[in-house]
Amino acid sequence: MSRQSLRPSRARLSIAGPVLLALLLLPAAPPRPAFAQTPQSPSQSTSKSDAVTPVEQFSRQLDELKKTFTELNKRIDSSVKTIDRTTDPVASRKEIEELRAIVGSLLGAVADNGEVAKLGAKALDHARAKVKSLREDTRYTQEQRDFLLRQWEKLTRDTEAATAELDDARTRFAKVLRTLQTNDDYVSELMEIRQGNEALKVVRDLAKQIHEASDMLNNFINAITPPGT
Amino acid sequence: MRVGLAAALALGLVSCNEEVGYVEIKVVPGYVVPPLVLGAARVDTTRSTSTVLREKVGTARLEYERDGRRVPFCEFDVRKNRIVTIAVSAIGREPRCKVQG
Repeated sequence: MSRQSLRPSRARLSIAGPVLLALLLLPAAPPRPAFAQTPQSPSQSTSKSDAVTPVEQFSRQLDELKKTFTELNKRIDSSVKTIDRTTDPVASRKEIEELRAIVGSLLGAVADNGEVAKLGAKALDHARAKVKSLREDTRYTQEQRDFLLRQWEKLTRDTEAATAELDDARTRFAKVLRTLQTNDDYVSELMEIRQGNEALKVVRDLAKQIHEASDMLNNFINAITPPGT
Repeated sequence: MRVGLAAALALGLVSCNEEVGYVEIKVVPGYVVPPLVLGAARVDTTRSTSTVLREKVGTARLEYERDGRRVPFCEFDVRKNRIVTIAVSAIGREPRCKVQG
């Protein structure tokens, strides 16, 4: 096992230990004296239904506490996994590879031998062939032919402009891919910083929840402790 | 046309599952080189000074065409999802290459 994976597990144990210990000790705590010595009005002490209320309240508090600690333990487990993941340098490498694959697939589509470029070349060839054939076509009147020619010449110009845009896209994607691979280590460091921020957020959230659970436990202990002890 | 382009782009994205890399062929300004061929693709050096080709991963050979024959003059590695730039110049009538990246 690596040092990295040991560290969060140890942290989890150190947090979970006192929590579990507190839970184990809870049934041993004598709640009765606390309830017996809780200041009550004369009418409350004589009412049968009111005498049950503190027990129910204790039971409810205990259930809530157990639930909170169970959830907290789950949260600690998931946080450990998240931190393990976010501090793994292999994960940031994998992210760069995924990014490179995305840029690569886009570049592949617009490459000179890619599908889009082939389609553009085919459309352009077709438009040029139409212009050429219409010039030699004798089926139409002069006006009809002029109109059709104007339409196809415009289409040819527009298709040429569109394929030129494709050239720009190709150049841009090629540049991005080259930048990614020449700045491989730097990009990897940036990815790790991003993951470090994610880990920090997880730790902060967890610390806040542990603090809340600790307050809850404190209140519970206060409730079951006889006054003056 | 737009639907066709979208379909072709999708096709390009789907076909990215096979292991491919990219080769950028640049003719150094001022040099005139014969027509170039990379695998099944012909490179029209008169149309543009830069061409980007999608190529299978592995060793690739750039060739030039002369008198109907293909003459290899440059060998390089194509790596997955990476781009390699080949700068082509010439000494006399013979093309020369410089591999970058």
